[in-house]
Amino acid sequence: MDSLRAWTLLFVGLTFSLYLYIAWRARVKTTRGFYVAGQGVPAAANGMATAADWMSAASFIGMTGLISSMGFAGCVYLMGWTGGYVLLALLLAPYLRKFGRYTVPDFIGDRYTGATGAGGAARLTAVVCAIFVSFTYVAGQMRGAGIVFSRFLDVDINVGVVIGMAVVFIYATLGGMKGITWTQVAQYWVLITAFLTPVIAISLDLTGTAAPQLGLIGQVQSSGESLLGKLDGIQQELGFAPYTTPFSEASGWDKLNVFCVALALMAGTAGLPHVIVRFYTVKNVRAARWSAFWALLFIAALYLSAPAAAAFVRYYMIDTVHDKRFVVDNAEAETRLAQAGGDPEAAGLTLVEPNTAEADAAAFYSELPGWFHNWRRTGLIDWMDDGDGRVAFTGDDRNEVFNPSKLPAGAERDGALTQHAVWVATGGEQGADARPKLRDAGASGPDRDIFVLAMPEMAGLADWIVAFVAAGALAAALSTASGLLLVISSSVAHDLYYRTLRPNASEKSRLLVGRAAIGVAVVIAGLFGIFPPGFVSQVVAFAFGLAASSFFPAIVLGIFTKRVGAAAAVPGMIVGLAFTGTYIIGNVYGGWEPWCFGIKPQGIGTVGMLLNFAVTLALVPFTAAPPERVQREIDRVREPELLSAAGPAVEIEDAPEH
Amino acid sequence: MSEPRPDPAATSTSTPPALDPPPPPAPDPLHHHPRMIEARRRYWRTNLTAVGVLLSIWAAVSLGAGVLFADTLSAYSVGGAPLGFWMAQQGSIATFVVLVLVYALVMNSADRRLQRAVQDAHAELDPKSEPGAPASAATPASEAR
Repeated sequence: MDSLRAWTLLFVGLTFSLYLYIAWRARVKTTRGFYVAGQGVPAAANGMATAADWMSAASFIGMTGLISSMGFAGCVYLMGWTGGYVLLALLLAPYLRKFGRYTVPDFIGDRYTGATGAGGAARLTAVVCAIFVSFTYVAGQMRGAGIVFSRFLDVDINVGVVIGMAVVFIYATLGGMKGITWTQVAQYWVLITAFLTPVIAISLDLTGTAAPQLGLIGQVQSSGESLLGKLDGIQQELGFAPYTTPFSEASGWDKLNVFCVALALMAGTAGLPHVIVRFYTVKNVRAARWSAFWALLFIAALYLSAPAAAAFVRYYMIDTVHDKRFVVDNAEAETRLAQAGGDPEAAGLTLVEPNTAEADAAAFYSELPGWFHNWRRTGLIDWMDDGDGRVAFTGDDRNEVFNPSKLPAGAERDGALTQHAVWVATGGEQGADARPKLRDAGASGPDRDIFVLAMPEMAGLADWIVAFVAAGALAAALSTASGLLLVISSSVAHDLYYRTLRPNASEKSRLLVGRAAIGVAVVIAGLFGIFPPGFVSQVVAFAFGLAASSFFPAIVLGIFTKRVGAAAAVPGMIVGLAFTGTYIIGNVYGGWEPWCFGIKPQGIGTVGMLLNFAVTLALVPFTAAPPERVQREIDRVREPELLSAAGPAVEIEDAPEH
Repeated sequence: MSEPRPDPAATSTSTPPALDPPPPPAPDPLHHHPRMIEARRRYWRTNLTAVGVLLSIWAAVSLGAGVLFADTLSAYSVGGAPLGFWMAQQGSIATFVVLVLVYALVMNSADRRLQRAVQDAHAELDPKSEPGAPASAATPASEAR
């Protein structure tokens, strides 16, 4: 355990120093450098930065576990979070780059300008949405960083959050978008290597193929059966839904919901401000197109491996946990060890060292793998015996594997666990079975966030690789957090302070406000990490729903039609936002039934988006077209930069020399 | 907030953040040259066609094969995986990468065609300049769209 801590400290220290060094080399003095990295970032580098920006703690830590427990329906995240890039590359990125300002509210405000001041209203709506979406996201990143710090460094979560925030604060204020971009390039390589190494190892172990994508459609090495076929069989036997079967009414993932959630995530991805703003940082329209390609290619490296990892982990988890004995008595263990020539692995045993979290003071042998015991100490996975001493991991009432952290911390959780221990010890005479309670709390099965972090241990990899995965998870969390903080800063300092409040502000004061805004945003994000609001996972549905129902239609119509003016677009945005927002709030907090055809709150952005399109297009015949000046601007946005190779249109004076 | 204030998007000198220089209102012969008008029309049509075709494929592989017809497609298989499942979790993502690559190639070549049209139109307007190297002379005009 101590060697793992040392390795983790080493890797986290090394990567953090690298990030700070890059930021120092890339420090900036102009608002253009601060917000759009001087627009001198090469396409491939911008692609990597976009990929790191996009792949958050949720993609790195959470997604594999999510797919692993959802099976087929996990495709909504896979398709949603990559398919959005096709929309982005074809419908938004090149035009927004040609438009050439700093932020998404800039585009909305300038495109939907009008005599009535609707441009101001549109800009303000966009600013509020951008800030809301970004904070929702940042909160999730901080939780991810907290999990990593507490598992691998045994430090208090709060200390971990503060360290992470301090690092992000330094490199974001120093280098702005330029510092963030080049840091994200480094973070991409850290996170992708850290993700792929254990996936490849586990693929080799299980299927004998190094490429996880081939392993997924291949056979289990030990038995020669097809991996997915065998997984389907085991899942069914244990009362889970078969892994590859599309749609199940029971889990709520019917065809309509899979469709709506996938589409909402795709349109939402394309409308997320921290992703869009990345395309403002490249040299020209051509580079924006290439950049979208590189970004998706680099993202696909993780997203094509994650579903394979999910299936491997699922198989591995059931295979090594179900029907195993938690404690093997010493006499039997000695015999089995002797037969296996003293090798615990060959004997199928793990020596569990005594630990404060274990009831037994002495070391004991167990048939369960080491990762199970290690993670049991975090309280994110636990075994609630029914008295037979064997672990049952099933999809029905026999299940004994739970995630007790789903119960409220303190007396309620501790009481339930103690009562259960008494219940087992007395053979059901006293105490109470905690399993029904945990089932009702939705705590069946392990916490999904531990799957990726436990993967290297499952594959039996060395401590230093486990530590490297921890550094990768931190890279994923920090890279996304920094990109979001910059969006918050530019929304406040550029759109609110400069474009709305003080149009005469000097470059210097704008830069100062931008840096101060990052500072404030970092503190708020840090507070989110220290006092994680319980609503985080629910409001992420908000971020995509709002982006899909507000930004996406407004920007697409703004580019592809000249006829849509502010008077048509603004009501569309308001209807889309209001419908989506009310539906999500009503379902999450108001106890509503999903009355709109049974669509989950996560998927309602699709309906909001259609409403937005419908309202806007219906109002077009009755409202004024945008002014002549805006129409010329649309023409300009649709064309590439001509003759820019020799012309002064692109200044590359502060293009990074890297 | 209701007091009148300068239109934020006005292309006057009071809006500095425009990164391209604000277009001066001077008439631009190059911009209105018939060749240019035709070339721009063709460029935009190419773009709309490319977007239309590629987005149809996008919808067909993801929302079509991956969702709407996933249960039907599961009768077939790719290696050990049912086809519907494989499309939803692997095939669609791989297709997305190709779609974005094709779009970049198609549009970047359309950019070059439009660029050549500018040079031809410029050569017609100003025969003294060589068609191969019109950049320095044409730039101010093309910037003044």
